[in-house]
Amino acid sequence: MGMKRLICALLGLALVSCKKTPLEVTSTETRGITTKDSEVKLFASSDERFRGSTASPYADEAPKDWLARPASQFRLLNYAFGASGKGEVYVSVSQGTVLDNANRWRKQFALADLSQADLEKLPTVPLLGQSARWLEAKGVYASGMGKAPTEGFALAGLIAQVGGDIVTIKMVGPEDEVQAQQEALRQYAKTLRVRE
Amino acid sequence: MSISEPNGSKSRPPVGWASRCFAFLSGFPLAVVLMLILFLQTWLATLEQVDYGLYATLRKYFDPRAWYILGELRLPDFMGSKALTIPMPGGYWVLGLFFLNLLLGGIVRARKGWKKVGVLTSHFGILLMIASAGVTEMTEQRGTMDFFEGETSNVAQDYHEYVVEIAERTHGKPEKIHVIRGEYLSDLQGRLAPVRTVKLPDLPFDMQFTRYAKNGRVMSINEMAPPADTQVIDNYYIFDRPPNKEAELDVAACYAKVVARDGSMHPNFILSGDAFHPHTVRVGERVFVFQMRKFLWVMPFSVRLDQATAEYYPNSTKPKRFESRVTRLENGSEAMVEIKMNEPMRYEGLTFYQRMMGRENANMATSRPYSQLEVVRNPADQWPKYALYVVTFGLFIHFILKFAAYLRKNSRPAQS
Repeated sequence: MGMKRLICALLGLALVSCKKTPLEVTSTETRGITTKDSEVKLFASSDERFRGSTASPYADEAPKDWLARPASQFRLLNYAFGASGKGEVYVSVSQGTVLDNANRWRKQFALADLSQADLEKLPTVPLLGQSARWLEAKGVYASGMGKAPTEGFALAGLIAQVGGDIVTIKMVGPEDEVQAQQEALRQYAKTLRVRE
Repeated sequence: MSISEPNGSKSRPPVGWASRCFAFLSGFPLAVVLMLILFLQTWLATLEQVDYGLYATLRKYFDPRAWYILGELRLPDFMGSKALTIPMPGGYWVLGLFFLNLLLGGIVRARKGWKKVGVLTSHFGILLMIASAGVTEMTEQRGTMDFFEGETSNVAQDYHEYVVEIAERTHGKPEKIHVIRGEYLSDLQGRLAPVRTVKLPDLPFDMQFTRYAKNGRVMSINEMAPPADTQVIDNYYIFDRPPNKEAELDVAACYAKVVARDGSMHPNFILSGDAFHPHTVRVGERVFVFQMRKFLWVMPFSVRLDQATAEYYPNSTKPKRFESRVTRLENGSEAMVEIKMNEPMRYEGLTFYQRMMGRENANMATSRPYSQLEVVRNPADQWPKYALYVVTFGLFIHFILKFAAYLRKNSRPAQS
């Protein structure tokens, strides 16, 4: 009855062959380089990746322990830092005045507005050939982007008027991590330059 | 009622379960039922492909993973224009069972003898045709190779399968590219899709994937508010669109994450088949790029397009003659070949068909012409043709034998 055994084996095989792909798999497949593989753009922002938009107008030299993240429409250069994974630094171009932007940041920590006289008392740091105002804040951080307020956060940032724009570098994260990165931020600001 | 068996004898009472099973699998009743189901499936699939496209319909009806299918029959207007759902076993398995039935009933159990040579040969031809469909389903690769005049290509791009490619960037081009195949991604669809971890032993990290969209568009939250429960990354999210009728136009997307073995944190990111640039991640001192693209299939040789010739019927876009003059480059040797419509190039188990032709842009005077070849690797490529020859030969023999028997019978003197 060899034929009958064969039938049973075939039916059994058919039943076993329909298994689902497990949720943990191992992949070792590789391929060689082809004529379709060309040079690629590294560290492209999300806007560049999904909308083909142009690159950030600024170039920089970020500290090695900052992790580059995809840029976006509002974050021309974007980094994460710190062991918690919550710290972030980003360069933006904004509108309004230096005072408007300083007070917008302070509001995120529920702090009172500064006057123009208060602003002029703030220390300055070189940024893109201008003197940027150095701002600090700490407490409960409410970014206003639909995220829940976070306690124990701090901010360190620079705001400068460059041409007709306001250029900002904002660092937010857990207070101790921001405190530890303040000097790195000052040095980073000096490396920022207009991309050629 | 007794059942007439292929050898003409009456069925005997089966002895054990194995005998019963054998009798059932090799019997005429099963053959008739299977043929009716196949007829129904072919009919319904032909109607459905008008609405859902050929590829999607073929996958629905004849995919090996489909144990059962729900065929749709749209009722005519006077019956309410409703869709009638007809549950049926999966076509792949119906065909598999039919193969077994024909093998057992039409070859093993069939009466042997020189008078049956024609029928047996025809049955063998049909078996070969079904086997060719099975081999094609399991092994066939199909893709396109496109290039402009003067360009050389060594790769074909799959029609449907999206994969994730990972390459380490050191100095210039990478030496090899890691490929995570579509089978690990394509079942992660829908809002409740699980997360799949893909271990990459050759790299310093593993990857996680979820919420694969077969035809996903990456949208910005500034363009359209994301639906509830949608993961937004860096102001972008994947919007799941219905599949195209022409399945090769679908563009896949998914959410991905790098899980580094050194414990460093890496945020989630989106991979999409129509991204302009890959995603870059730095793991320690090493830089890796990730991109989703259609599976690239490296050829064992290169092909250079020397000349592309396209002729159309007057005042129409209907092709009259598409012809690619190519040079096959392999291990320093060159061979010139002409690929025309219905005259493919067959070499090393690959078949190159002429598929499309076009120009870089609308300026006919200055734009470069390009040619698109369809590349097929299928060991059973020629089997259907051979199967038809075998069936035709078998039936020819059978009819000749029958005709001879008829003539013999009529030539005998009539007996009173």
